[in-house]
Amino acid sequence: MSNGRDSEHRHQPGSPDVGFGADAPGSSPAQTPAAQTSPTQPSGTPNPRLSGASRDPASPSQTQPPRPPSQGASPTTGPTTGPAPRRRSAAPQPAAPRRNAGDLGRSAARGLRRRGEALWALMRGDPGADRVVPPTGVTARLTQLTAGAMAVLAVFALAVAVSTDRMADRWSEELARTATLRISAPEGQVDAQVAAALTLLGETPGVEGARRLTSEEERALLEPWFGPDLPVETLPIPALIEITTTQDGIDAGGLRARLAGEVPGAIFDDHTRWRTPLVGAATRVRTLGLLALVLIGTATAAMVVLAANAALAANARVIAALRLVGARDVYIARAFVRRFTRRALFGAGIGTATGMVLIALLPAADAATGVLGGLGFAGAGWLWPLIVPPLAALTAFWATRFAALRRLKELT
Amino acid sequence: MIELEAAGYTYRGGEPLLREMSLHLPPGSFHFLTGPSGAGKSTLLKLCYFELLPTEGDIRIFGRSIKGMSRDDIAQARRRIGVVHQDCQFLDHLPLAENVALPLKVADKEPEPANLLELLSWVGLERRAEALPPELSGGERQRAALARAVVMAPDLILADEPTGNVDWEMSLRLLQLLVELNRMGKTVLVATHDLNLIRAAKKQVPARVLRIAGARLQLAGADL
Repeated sequence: MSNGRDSEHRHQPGSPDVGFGADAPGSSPAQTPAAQTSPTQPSGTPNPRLSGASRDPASPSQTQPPRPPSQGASPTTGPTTGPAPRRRSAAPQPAAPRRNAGDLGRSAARGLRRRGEALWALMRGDPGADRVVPPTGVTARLTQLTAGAMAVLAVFALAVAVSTDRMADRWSEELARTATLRISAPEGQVDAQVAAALTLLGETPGVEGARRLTSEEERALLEPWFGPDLPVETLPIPALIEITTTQDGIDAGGLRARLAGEVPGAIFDDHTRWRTPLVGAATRVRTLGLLALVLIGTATAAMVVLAANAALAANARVIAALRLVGARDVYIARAFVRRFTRRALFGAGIGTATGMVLIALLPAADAATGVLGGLGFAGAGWLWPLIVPPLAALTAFWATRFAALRRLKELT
Repeated sequence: MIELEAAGYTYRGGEPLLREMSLHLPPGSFHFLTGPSGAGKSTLLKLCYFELLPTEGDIRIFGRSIKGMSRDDIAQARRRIGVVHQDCQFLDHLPLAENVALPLKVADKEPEPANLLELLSWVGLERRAEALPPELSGGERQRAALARAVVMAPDLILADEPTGNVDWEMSLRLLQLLVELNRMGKTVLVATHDLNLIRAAKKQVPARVLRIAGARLQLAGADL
């Protein structure tokens, strides 16, 4: 802080420039450095200002004139040395122009472009920036290993979710449009009742088609329980009629009433009794699969936060040195964020490929494997696992950024 | 350049280490900061480059109060301050040249190799550019720290016991470098308890001596 006395001193050569209230006696005369320092430097001495990069344009020039003493400033009671410091001129700022929609649009576009550039810089990497943080071999390998393991689990969870979703849809749609008529009648009356039932069904609104199952189809249905050599023809097995309904469906109550009158041995089953809990179970399994995905993502984020915190703590000295030379938190965080993001991406890529191979090796769906054989991806569903590595990278990016910025405030 | 307005600092749970410090260092000045061990020299320097924030009073650097500065503002201000630590604070995994260029790197500026080599030549380390910091001697580390401190052409040089770990000849060489910087217009503040160094400096530049005693700042001039 300057005062009037400082100003006087500058105009009185030979007077002490160090103003401790009353200047100490015997103090050597002050150089008025800014004004008196010759721009000529000692011969043979390189000028450090020329070394390295260009000067920060925000820095005040060394050739600026000394600042005039501030008027009305409170006197400095402690050591006040020499002339007043130079300050940047406080030129009046022009009034900010009003921003119209076009300006806002351009501003938003610039913001998007900057984000895009940042993302591109993140993906292509910046070896120079990464180098400021020493490599941490064990942490890197553990992060990749964990990301890989999590990706395998994520692919499994995704397979379960996609498969059960597919099954639920199929059961829900296909079974909803089918029904079964079972006709149990004394021998000799079966064919007549079947014919009567088919006639009645043919007249019933909402019935798209109806046909009696053949002996071979009945044998195939019973084969899992009785083996392939079951003499179906000699057993009193009820006749089965498969009914396909239209989109609008049929009046089940009305049909049952008519069947009771015209085909006394017929029992109508529209599958509702077992279809509803089956679809409900499949939906719950699908939900569990999605929940598992969320938990895997959360666990991955927690793991990355822990690893990032460990890396930040281990590099506290490096961070202090970087802060000392003017590194912003974002710069320091970037080195860690990029590193962990790439590790997670790489590890999750390997894990995803492994998971896809394991899923592909699962047995195909057939009668022998039953429901379990349907687990896995089908057709374009194989694209689903490909979202796991980018999601892992995105999770690692935000987790590391969050951990780094929070930790940096604590460290320095 | 630096203005302390009744600034003080108290470490958590301790007695006030610095009290009511009022100080004004003008641009281009050369000051020594002395005092007994534990008097608070390093703490005062840390206040000057914002590693610590005053627990009382205010500090203005480059005309701006610390009270209104964000962490990014502080980082920006540090780019105008060259700090030479007693322990240098290098990144041991990077070669010397990269350590010296670090302030440029963190400011997203690309160092020019020729200029970097010229700077290393200025401190006599052009042949050690590829050496890792642990391979350097104490004097070399201090000179490298000085090179790093000035690579951004800062307005202010703060040195905390820069000659604490080197012999007298190296101390004089480091002093010479600081004097040259001051003659170029840099403001220099050196914390030291080496009175011989201060006497040697006063033969070359109109250096001023500040002393911390009893948690307060005093002027020491004629007695040195």
